[in-house]
Amino acid sequence: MADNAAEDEVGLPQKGLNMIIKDVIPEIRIANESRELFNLCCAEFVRHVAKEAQNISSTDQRKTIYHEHVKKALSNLNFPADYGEAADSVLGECKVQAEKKLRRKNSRLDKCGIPEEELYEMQQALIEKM
Amino acid sequence: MSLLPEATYSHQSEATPLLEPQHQPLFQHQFDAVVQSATMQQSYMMAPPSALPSTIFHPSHSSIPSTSSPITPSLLSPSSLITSAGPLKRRRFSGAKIQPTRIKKVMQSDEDIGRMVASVPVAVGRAMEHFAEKFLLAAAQVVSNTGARTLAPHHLKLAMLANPHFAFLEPILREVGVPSRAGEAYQYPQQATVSQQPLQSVKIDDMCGIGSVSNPLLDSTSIMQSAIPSIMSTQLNPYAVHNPYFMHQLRQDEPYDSLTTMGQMGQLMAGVGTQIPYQSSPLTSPIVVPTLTSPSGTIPSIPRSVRRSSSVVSNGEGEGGAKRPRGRPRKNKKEKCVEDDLVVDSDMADNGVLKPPSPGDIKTECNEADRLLMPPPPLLPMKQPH
Repeated sequence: MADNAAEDEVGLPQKGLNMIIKDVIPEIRIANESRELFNLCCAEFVRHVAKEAQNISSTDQRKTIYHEHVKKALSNLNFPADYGEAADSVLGECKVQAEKKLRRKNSRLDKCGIPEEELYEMQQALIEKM
Repeated sequence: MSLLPEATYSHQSEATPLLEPQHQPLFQHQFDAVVQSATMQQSYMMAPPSALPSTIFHPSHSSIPSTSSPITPSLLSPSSLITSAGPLKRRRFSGAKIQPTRIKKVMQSDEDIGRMVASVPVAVGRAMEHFAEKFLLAAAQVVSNTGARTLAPHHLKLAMLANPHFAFLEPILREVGVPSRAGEAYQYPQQATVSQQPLQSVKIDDMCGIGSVSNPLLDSTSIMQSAIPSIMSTQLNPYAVHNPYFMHQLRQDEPYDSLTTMGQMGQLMAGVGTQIPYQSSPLTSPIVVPTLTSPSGTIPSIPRSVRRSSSVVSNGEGEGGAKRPRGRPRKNKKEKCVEDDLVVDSDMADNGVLKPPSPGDIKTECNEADRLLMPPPPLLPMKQPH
């Protein structure tokens, strides 16, 4: 109730945060209040970084935030280097995902594994058979 | 004898699906691909692939492995498997505990933030997880240092204070008090006031009900009284659990505006409070009615919610104070203008009975009643602040 009154900002899913909490400090009990507060803190971190990254990208005369902007934002905000490394660690995965996505998009022909000319021949053969 | 060829024929025709049940869908798939790559005219000719009898497919199918490369079946099978597994929802970035879409939503909750590359939310999410780990570890350090058993909010605050790069959390953790030694003493005084205040307001409500004058402004003052502790508690300690009875009281009086306009009310509280000595017990009309019926003098200074709540109270008396449904009422009555409220109020003040508000004819009466009740001079200075 108090949270709703204080702000109607977007929070993060509590479930995922609980997983993180459980992973990091499995042996410490944590009050529900602290969980909510922790959720707020994490959301604030995201917003904080996003704001700085937006600033950097606008000084870069860009309208889009790029990965470098995030990295620079993290270092500008005096976060230790490991934060930037953590951000970097997902880059490879992202690239793979993007590639996959691209391939999925125009892969209707590739999927069947038959070169296009052969497909055409097959088609002609089918037409003749009819 | 005549049955024999028929039987063999039927046997053959049945044999085709039996012998090659797994080739049939594969070929169908190939056929789809062919149709896809075909030109319009050809595709028109081939258009109903499912309508074509399978016997036409069959010879051509048997010719395909011979003409095309022998690896096609092995290449085909995984792709057909993938297409069959299509509806299964695949979770992207399953390594991330929090979905990048959500991170992006949070990022873009700030109006200034525009587009971003697809990898940015993922990277920020990862960085956020990293931050979460560090922050939790710092808090856990605090917990173990203080010898507490449960991670409480003030541990987070101490963790924030201990690390300079967590300083950005200050606005969130500002309200969290750090108990010096004596446990969580910072909660108790406010809770005491919270539990006291509803009693007072109930008292005043009862008096309103008993007395012949049911004055909306008194209700509003009682609302304000009950609003005071909530303001205090939300400002000082947002995480304190509110007294349920207190919340119920608030909700009953003014359904939805109470929380949003509370700040306003708090600002205006002092002024109204000085105008109306609500704690003086004889709630007789001469004290309150003049301030009420002075048009556009005091009323605009009272925030909107209070005005609406007064109208709600005056209109809802016939319902026997039935609890209003929670949430935002969909069909709200039209916002009454100030004069209408005054009309109803003064009418009630005169008769003690609620009349249905019919603004047109009562307005003139109201003005006359106003003139009778109230000398004109104090009107002029009160208009000025408005």
